[in-house]
Amino acid sequence: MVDHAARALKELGVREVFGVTGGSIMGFFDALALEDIEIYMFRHEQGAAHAADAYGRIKRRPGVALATSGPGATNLVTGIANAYFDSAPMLAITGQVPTSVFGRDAFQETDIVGVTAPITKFNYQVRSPEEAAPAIRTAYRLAYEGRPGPTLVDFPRDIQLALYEPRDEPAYLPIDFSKYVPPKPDPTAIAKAARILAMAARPVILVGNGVYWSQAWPEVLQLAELLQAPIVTTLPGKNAVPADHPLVMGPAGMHGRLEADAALANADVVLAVGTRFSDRTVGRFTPEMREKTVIHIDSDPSEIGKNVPPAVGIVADAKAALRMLLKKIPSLPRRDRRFIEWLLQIRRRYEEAMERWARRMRKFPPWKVLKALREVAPRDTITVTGVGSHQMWAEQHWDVYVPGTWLTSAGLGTMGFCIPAALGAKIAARDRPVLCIDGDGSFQMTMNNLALVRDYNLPITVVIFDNRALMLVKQWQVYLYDRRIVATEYSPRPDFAKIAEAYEIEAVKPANLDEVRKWADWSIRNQEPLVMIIEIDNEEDIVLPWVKPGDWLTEAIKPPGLEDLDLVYPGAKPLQAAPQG
Amino acid sequence: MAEMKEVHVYGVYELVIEAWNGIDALMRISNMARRAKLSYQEVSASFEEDRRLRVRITATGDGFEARWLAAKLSRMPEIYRVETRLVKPLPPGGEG
Ligand SMILES: Cc1ncc(C[n+]2csc(CCOP(=O)(O)OP(=O)(O)O)c2C)c(N)n1
Ligand SMILES: [Mg+2]
Repeated sequence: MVDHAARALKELGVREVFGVTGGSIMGFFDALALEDIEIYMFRHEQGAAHAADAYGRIKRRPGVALATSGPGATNLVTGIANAYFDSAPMLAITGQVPTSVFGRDAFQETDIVGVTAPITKFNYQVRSPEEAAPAIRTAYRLAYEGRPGPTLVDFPRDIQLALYEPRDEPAYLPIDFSKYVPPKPDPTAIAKAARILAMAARPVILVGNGVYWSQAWPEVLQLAELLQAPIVTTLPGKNAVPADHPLVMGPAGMHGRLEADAALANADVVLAVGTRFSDRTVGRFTPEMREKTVIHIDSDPSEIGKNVPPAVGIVADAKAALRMLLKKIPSLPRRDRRFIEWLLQIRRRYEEAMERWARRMRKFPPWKVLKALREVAPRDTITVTGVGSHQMWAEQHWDVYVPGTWLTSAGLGTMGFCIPAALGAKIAARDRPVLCIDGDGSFQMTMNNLALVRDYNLPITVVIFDNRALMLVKQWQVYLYDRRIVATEYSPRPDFAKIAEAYEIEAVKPANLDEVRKWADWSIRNQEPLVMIIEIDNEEDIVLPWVKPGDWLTEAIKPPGLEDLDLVYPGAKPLQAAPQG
Repeated sequence: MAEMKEVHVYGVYELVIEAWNGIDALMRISNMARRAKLSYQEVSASFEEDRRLRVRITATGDGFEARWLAAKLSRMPEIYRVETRLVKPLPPGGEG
C-alpha cells in the first residue's frame, strides 16, 4: 500500500521530503523514489524535522519528514515539538514494527503515537491498507488548516507491504475540518473593539506570527497608521511586519527592545493579533498586563483568554477581522504624537548607548556584527537563528524587512535549529540567500547536517557567534546564581574551521567588521556556502536589555549608560480598569 | 466551542466529550486533562458504534480550568463535541 501513500503525497504537491531510512520505513522510501519524490538524506532525524518545519514556514505548506521506527521516530520528537510550539505546518511519517508483534517490545518498537500525542495537532496509526492514503491526506491538510502545526502518521511495516487495490475509499478520515476554518469576525465584537481603539489614549498593536500566516501585515500597518499606534511584536512575530516601518518598535519581552518594552508597558489598550501572549513577551501577567484593556484576535478560540483575559475576544482570521475593524473605526482627529515621539527618543538613546558600549569591547560586539551583515544581505534574505544569546541579540538588532523571512525557534527554544532549518529554507527557496546566525553550542548540536550543503548544492551562509560558552545560561549564572559558572564554558574544541573544511565548505575568521561584510557579501553574491566564525568574549557577551523572569517590562536591566532611563511614560494617566464584557 | 470566558465559579463541573478513534482519543483526552488544574472526581468512557467514544468527566475547579480544557479538547481533530456545565456550585475552597 506504500505506493498509494506515496502517490497521495505526490498528488498533494509534495516533491521533496527529508529523512533517514531504516528497516521499517525503507519500503516507503522505495515508493517515494518510484514516484520521483526527492529524498534529502539528513544525517540525523532531528535535522530532517527542523528542515521540514522551516520548509513549511517558507512554503506555507507542510514539509515532510520521514523516519524509521524506534530511534528514528524518537529522534524526530524534538523537531516535532519545535513545530508545535511555533505553529509550523509539517507532516512526520514514521515506520512502525509489524502489527503482529505490537506490544511485544519488538526490535525498534516505540509507541510514537503515544509519545507525540501532546506535541502534534493530530497523529494517527494506520491499521489497515485502505486507511493509508486518507490518513496521509488528512494529516497533510490538518497541518496547515487554520492554525498550522505538526501531524504524524505511523505506518506498521506489514501494512506498508500489504498488497491493496483502492476501491472507493474516502478521501479523508472522518474528521471535521470545518472547525479549523476560522469563523467570520463577529460584527458586534468588532464594533466594540473599534470604539475602544478610537477612544484609547495610547493604543499599541501587539503582533504575533499569526499575522504572517494570515498575511495580514498590510492591514496591521494600515490600522497602525490610522490610529498612530506603535506596533510591537513577539519574537516569532518579527516575521510578520517590516522592521523599517516608522511605527514598528520591534519585539517586546524578556530580550525585547527598550522602545518596544516601553510601548507595551505604557499602552492603555493593547490590540493583540495572532499571538498567545507568551510569558516571554509580556514578562508577567499580573497585575500590569491584566490592568490593560486588551482586544485579542486569534484564529484559535482556545487562545482567547488563556493567558490574558481580553475585554474583547475575536475568533477570526486576522486579515478578515482587521479589514472589518478598519471599516468600523471612524476617521480620527489627529492623534497626539507625543507618545510615539517619546518612544523614538528612547530608541535614539538606546542606539547611542549601544554604540558607546561597542567601542569599549575587546572582541566583536555581537550586535555590530548583525548590523554589518544586514548591510550586505539583500532585503529578502531568509534569516535563521540558533538559540541563545546570539538569538537574543538578533531579536533586538536584526531587522526583518520582508514578512516570512525570519525563522527562529521561539516557543521551544531548540538549540540546533539553525543549520537544518537553514537547509530546509534553502530547499524551499533556492533563489534566495539564506543566512544562519548560530551559537557555537547550538551549532554543535546539528552540525552533522552540513554534509547536505555539498550533497545537494545548498549554499547557506553560516555565521557562528563563537563565545565558547552556553552564554545565555552563563548570563543567568552571572546575575541570578552569584556568578557560579557551572557547565556553561566550553573547551576550544572543536576547531570549527576544520569542521567546515571536512564538509568542503569555506571557513573564515574575520578580524574586523569590514571583513565580516566582505565575506558575507562574497558568500551571498556568489551563492557559495560559508562558515564564518566570529570570536566573541564570553565575559563581555551579556544581552541587555533583559527583563528578568517574573519582572515587569519597565524593570528591564538596561545596557550600560542607560541606568537613568525611565521606561514609565511621564504623560500616562492612571490606567483605567478594563470594561467588562 | 466558544472561546474561554473567565468565569470563576467554584464547583463541580461536568464535561461530556464525544470522539472518533476511541482508544487513541481517550489517551489524548487524558493527556490534555492532566494539564488542567482540576480535581478529578470521576471519569467514565464507553464505546458506541463506529469507533465512537463517549467520555464523561466530573471535576472540581473554578470554571476557568474546565473551560480551558473544553476549549483545548474541542480543537482536537477527532473530537466531535464537548459540553461543559456547572453541576453544583460549592463554597470557595470547599470539598466537592
Ligand atoms: C536543546 C537545548 N538544550 C539546552 C538548552 C538551554 N539553553 C538555552 S540557551 C543555551 C546556550 C546556547 O549556547 P550557544 O548556542 O553557544 O549560544 P550563546 O548563548 O552562547 O550565544 C542553552 C544551553 C536549549 N535551549 N536547548
Ligand atoms: Mg555560545
